[in-house]
Amino acid sequence: MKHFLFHLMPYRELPHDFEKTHESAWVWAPNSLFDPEKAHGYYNEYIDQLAEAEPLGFDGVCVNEHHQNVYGLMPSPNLIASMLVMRTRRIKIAVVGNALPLYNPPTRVAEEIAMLDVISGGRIISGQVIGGGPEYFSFSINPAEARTRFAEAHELIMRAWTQPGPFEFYGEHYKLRYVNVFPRPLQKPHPPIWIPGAGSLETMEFVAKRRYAYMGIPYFHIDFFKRNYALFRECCEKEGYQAHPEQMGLLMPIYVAETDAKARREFEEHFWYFKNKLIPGLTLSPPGYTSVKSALRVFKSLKDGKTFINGCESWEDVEKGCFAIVGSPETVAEKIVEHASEIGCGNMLGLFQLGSMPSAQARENARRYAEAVMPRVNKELPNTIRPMPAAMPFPDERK
Amino acid sequence: MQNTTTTIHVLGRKIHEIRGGEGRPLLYLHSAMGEAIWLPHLSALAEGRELHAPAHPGFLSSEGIEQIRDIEDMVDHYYSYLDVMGWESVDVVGLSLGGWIAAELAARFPHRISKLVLASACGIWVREKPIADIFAIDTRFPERLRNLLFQDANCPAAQLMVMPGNVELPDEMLINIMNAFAATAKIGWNPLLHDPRLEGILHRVTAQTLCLWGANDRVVPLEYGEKYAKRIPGARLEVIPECGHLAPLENPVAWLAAVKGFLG
Repeated sequence: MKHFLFHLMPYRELPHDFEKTHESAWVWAPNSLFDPEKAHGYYNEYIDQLAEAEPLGFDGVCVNEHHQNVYGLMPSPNLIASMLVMRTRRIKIAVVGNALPLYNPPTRVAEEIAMLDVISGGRIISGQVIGGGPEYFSFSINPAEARTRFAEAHELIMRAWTQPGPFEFYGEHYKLRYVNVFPRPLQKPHPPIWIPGAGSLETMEFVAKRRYAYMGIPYFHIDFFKRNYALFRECCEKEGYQAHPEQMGLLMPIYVAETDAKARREFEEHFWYFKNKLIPGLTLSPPGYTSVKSALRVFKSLKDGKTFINGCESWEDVEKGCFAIVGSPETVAEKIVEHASEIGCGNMLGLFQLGSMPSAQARENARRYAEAVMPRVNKELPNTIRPMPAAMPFPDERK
Repeated sequence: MQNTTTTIHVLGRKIHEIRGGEGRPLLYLHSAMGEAIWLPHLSALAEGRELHAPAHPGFLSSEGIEQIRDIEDMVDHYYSYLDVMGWESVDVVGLSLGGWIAAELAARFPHRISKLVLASACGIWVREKPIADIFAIDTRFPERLRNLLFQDANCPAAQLMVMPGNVELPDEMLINIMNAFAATAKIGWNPLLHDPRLEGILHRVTAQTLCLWGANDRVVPLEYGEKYAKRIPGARLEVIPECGHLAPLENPVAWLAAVKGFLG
């Protein structure tokens, strides 16, 4: 099992009645709430937590991209990644999101990821995402073009990394006469590609076909993940190969303490801060953002009120749906082994700081995980020897 | 009143259309609701006229939204539609989004439109009174949509309005609603439901024009009607008192009297 420390960089000290006075943590949560003095501390503490993943023995760290919200203070994951490149020497740095449709031209992403890859000595994982629904409000980018922009930007970036330039790219959204990114990435043919998905079959088929890694978008009921990863593995089989464990990742809030009771006691308030204050608005789905087929599926699966984290009302709900893995080292390891082996994933992406959790507590949590959980999990689920399937190059026989 | 549903072919796209009545043709361009369905105000407009209400690409079963990049493509679609119908020139009633399309048609191809009714039409911009961001409405609160679309959220038409969040809807209806919003977003997300170039060419309109507004339109405020009436040569503004954006639903009597009086 590969272990990654994922950080959202949340805004921690919101007013206690924030969720009563604000409907959304996204797009419209007023930036008068932002206190730069506090954020100075947050950023530096969070970067320290990420950098510490290396001495603790993690395989990598993850940063991500969101805009205009109190959920995460990381509109530019590439900036944070560049700091981590200089603070670490060994671990992978997964930039799980550049939201491609937000970059114009998207060759900007090709350039920045290539810079990071070259400087880090080939330690970058390139996550490429469509961006959350709220991003389309925050950037006023047309959500009805989200899918076609993503597909085109992705092809442009992959070709910019792998094909000799200069060449012309003539797409529906992007028309570039001279594509010739300089520098190109150090990893050959390009950094590993991670694509997140929330269960749309189109995305799974795309990831399976191109032999990338599929990362389930978090905060769903564990059964929802299990269904989705089973579907993804089927998609790989249809492509004529068996999914590699490292083509799949499970992202979860994780908290470890000496005993189950102590873990819950220390963790629970931060979970509710996260769920009540930071999540509302995350699920905004502007018109055209997903295909009607996917939208209908998501709409129906959310209807029971128990499939997504926002339906959690009691600790029992949290435990039942496994919206966070919390407990003693034995309990946490046991749950990870149980779910990861059923899902078949070879990457565990943990959120060790969640919501309002203070930094010292988050660091201790990550330390306990590294010392007492990782070895247990690795014993049960050793890394897969066979190599990852090679990504399919562009251009291809795509219709 | 009898009506028939038919499929016509425009630029290779199958287009859904509903028709009824006899007489000179009258073209009705629907709003973002996608009302190419036989609502009472359409039935009333078909008295003494041959009413045609096509669904825009992306609405109901009309195809081709993939090829519509922006409002200009939509206008070109309707230029071809007029050719398919064999109309040298026609009278048009456009509601809201449909009013925007009608205004563009009349400005870009003045000889093709004889009489023009711009009802609660978006399409231009008044900086002091921005058009409401209908895309940001939270579907968990249907009463907000009612308050936006109607002056009186308790009027009978407003109470008929449903949102996917609050009631159980059949799949087909859900799909129609999602498609309607997506198609509207495709042409109207940004700039929000208007074309910054339109105001500068409205002087080209030669059609006899009626701008018809609810006095308390909270989506496209009355100032838009005033601006349209000012920019279009010879246009007249008629205001329905105590009425909101969806005037033909909120006050059908006054709305129909104005439209029919104008069309003659």
